[in-house]
Amino acid sequence: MSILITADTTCIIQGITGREAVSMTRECLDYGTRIVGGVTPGRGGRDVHGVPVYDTVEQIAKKTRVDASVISVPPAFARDAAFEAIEAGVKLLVIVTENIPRFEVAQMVELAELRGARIIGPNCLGVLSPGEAKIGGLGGRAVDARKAFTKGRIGVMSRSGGMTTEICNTLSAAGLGQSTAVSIGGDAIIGSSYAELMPLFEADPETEAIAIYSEPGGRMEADLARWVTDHRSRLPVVAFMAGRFMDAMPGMRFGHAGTIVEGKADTTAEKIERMRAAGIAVAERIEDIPALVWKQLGR
Amino acid sequence: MFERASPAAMSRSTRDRMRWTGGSAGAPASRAPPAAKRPPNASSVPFVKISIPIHTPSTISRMPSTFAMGVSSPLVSAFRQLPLWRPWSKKARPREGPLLRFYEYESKQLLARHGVALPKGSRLARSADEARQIAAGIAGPTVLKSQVLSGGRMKAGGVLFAENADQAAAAAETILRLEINGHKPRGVLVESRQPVAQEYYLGVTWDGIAKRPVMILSDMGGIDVEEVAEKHPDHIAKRHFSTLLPFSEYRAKQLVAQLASGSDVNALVRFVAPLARIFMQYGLTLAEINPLAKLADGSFVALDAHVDMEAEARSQHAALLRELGIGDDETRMARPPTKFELDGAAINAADHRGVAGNVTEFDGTLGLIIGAGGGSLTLFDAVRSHGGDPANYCEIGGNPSVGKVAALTRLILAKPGVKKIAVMMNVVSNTRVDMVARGVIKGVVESGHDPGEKIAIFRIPGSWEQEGFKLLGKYGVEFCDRSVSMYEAAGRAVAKMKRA
Repeated sequence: MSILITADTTCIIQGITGREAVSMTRECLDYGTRIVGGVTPGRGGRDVHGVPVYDTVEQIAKKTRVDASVISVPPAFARDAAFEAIEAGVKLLVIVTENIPRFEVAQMVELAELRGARIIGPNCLGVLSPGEAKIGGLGGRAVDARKAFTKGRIGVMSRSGGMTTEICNTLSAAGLGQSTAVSIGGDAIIGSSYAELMPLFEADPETEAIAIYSEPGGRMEADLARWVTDHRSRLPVVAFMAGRFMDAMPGMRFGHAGTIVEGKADTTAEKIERMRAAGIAVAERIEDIPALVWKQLGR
Repeated sequence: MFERASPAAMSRSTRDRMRWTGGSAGAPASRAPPAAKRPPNASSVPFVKISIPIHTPSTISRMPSTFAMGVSSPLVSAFRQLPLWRPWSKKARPREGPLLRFYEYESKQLLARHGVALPKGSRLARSADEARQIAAGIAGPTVLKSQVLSGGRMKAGGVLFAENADQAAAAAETILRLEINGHKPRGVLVESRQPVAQEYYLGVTWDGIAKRPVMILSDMGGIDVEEVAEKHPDHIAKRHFSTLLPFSEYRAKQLVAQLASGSDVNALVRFVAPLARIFMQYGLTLAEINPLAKLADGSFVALDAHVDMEAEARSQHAALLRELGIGDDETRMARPPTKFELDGAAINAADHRGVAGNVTEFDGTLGLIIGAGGGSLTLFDAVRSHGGDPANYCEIGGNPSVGKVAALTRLILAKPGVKKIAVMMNVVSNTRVDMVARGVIKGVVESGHDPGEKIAIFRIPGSWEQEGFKLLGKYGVEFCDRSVSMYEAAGRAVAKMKRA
């Protein structure tokens, strides 16, 4: 099984005629994702790799079931695109766009909560359930995605899109396939944090362990540690923490908008301590993750 | 400056100073331990988006984990000390759109536009004469505050009191000449100084876990609000509010009613509601009034204010920024970027394809061309853990053009002290390995070097890797595929540097 998406998930791409979105469409189709339409206002009637383009989400939603939407539009249009998808009844939004003002992200998240929709991202690469489907650019071309991602029982969550692939590749090389890999996004406010996705993995009978990639900045790791403790999670978690060099640099921002150390609780040292206290194994290197997963699984 | 000791234990002069607006405004200077502290609740910490430059690896170990800058509250302290100046580095600069921090007088102007009461006569003076005129208009005791984007004003002598216009002029003259932490003041804020009966803390910021803005009120203002939260949780009130609904005053009343009663409730609501509305309207990451004072006459005024705007929101509020006199090119950073860093930014801006540039300068010998985001954090850690000495941090990703990658390579190789470069990324999805390979080889050749000698390691697995590896092989460059971990690749590069 998988979480969020399966081979049956129908997906649209908002901003489908953009340069990145065009190649993303090709990649997703090649991987087997059911892309049922694309949206670019003013470009209705065209097609992208055979996917029909519409002016609005509603036009597609009237014709067919839309489970998910990938939003790949410039930051100035992202909030509107997200509102449009949510109000058209789409329940899963993957927002790829970066540099969306925080206030607008909060608004999207709030509307999604009201309508029972879920947002992944912004500033993420997407979701991939090996052997089922991928939505977003995660893993790149289908041929490359199949090399790095293999079907299996590890749930993966990562604040970095690129490192999602790296970690899955390392797991795959060690014979540990993935149930679903989620690039959750690198911003300070994101639609779905580790702790918010945990219940989904917890409910998926085929997921047996979790691997996460984390960074300095924010409280998401502390939140995960709390969740794991409070819910006596059945899933062992292995974490990798990048950006340890940033601990001595409060206020610095490297890589992602969300990586900024503002206080002691933001540092990697503090996060590692909190996670370890909750029974989460923290890997010193990426390549140590598989062995830790095996150990946590008791094998 | 002052502990909240019992008044009896204090000297008369200390007690007097406490009771005056000016005294509290800058007061915490010597007291505030400056660290980037957590606000009251772990989940209420604001996310600031600022970028500052990096120090040399050798300074990292020496760097204090906290910096004594003297600030007026923990929330403020968390921000004030961040990016604005970095005494330990000669290379301070923003890496990307920094957070826009408002001066106190700008913050107050913004607040006043929305009906927030300020101390009488609050105006910016740019000369001693202007200060004299403002003070004469106030006709009473005044406080003069240096307008710098740095903490520690009080400690540095940037806050002075005056009894009359002549004293105010003299104080302004002193303050205008005074550089604080490397900052020349923008001017002097002159305000009436009045007896204070009670100080509050009021702030609005983001709660990244709740994903909502949160209002925080304390009736123990002027001091460390985090300390209050820890030791006196009953003196802290918090409320989240919606980003979709218009801000409704009952939310402010719910907040205030936890800590105040009688006519103070409505008086405080007249600060909370506008602050929340301003926060929403202008894309702020922090809006703070500390202290918010109840004066001896029963009226309330904002003694100090601090506003930060998110870089991403800046273009939407260009009109406001123009009205406040904040220029489009004002980065509000302490010092300009280094030439190396400017050149890196120019390379990245040269064309819109992918990312290659955005460098941050270090003093080391190993040039890095490493993937953006998490990959570069991981690789930077890996290089350092092997004892490597990075010459730079950089970002490369998306699908940068060959020319852009070559230009970045040339830039890094031209940096004094750089002996070799390491080209490393995580398994890439949307970057073509062959294009990066071609770019770095081109850059090395154009710099007059042998790629096989200058490139310590090339570790970028992923799309089009076979084409890339073929090219690298032709030039005698050591490369590795995904079977070699990022950590190991970094180790090989560092080992080569040590042999060289």
